[in-house]
Amino acid sequence: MAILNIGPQWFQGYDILFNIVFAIVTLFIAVLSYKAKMVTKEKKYSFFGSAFLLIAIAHLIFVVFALFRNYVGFLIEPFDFIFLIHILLMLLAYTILLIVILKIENKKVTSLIFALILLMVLFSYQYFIKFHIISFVLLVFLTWQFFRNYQNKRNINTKFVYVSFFLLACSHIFFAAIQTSVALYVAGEVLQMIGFILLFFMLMRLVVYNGRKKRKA
Amino acid sequence: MGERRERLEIIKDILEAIRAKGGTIKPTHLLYKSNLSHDSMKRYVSELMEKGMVDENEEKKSKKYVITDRGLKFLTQYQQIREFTDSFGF
Repeated sequence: MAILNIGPQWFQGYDILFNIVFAIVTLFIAVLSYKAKMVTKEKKYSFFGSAFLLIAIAHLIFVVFALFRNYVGFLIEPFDFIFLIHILLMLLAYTILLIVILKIENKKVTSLIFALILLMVLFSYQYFIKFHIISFVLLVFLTWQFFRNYQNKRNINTKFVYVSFFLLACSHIFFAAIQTSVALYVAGEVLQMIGFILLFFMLMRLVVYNGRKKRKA
Repeated sequence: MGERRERLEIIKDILEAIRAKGGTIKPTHLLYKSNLSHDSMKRYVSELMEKGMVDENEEKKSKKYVITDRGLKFLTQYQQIREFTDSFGF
């Protein structure tokens, strides 16, 4: 199944816009993370930033090829290949995020996680559904960690983060069940949009609030 | 017993101690405020002076440390980084 031919006809165009927003938000996080790396010289910021950069690239790949989907309907196989790249980037990103957030430092364990996830998706048929189910599982783990972080710190930023990742996790369930109704594609995209907007609000609070404090000082 | 402070946190504490005293501080006060040994404090202050975050002034034979604009900028960035890291909990 090609990712670019799913979803209702009327939604085509909106999904491009949505994915541009997703790419902007994730790029924003990547930039902040690389800035933190410049100041602190800590590797974890590089990995964290790289994960969000990969997500941004995955969404931009979707945008570029979705723009041409109506003109190259006969070239459906290459689009499957593009979707495979999209899958690899997203899974790589989620796995890196999980390793950073769970503070997994053992390289053997890290390699094993990467290998298992990639093998499960690539050497199987129905990789579309498997990608979304594995993404859901990875995001549930991330959401759980972010929820625990919220319980420890009890502030609005940590709440935004765990709610947004919860929505992102749920969106993959909608995508996985897309064969029952194409409307689920729209529901999944809308959930992702709400999740990324929450993340964007959180980032703006960080930047604007600290900017104000800087001007006062 | 509290957790060991990270290097970056110690640097932030030193700079904040100077800023809290209006931008200049005597070495003895800094030693007390930063909660470090004498040798450690000297090492950190030397590093901060090398990086241009702190200057040394001598007035009437009394030495004082002064926070620079770069030091103030670091404090703002540190706050942002701390909040960014805390938001994601890593």
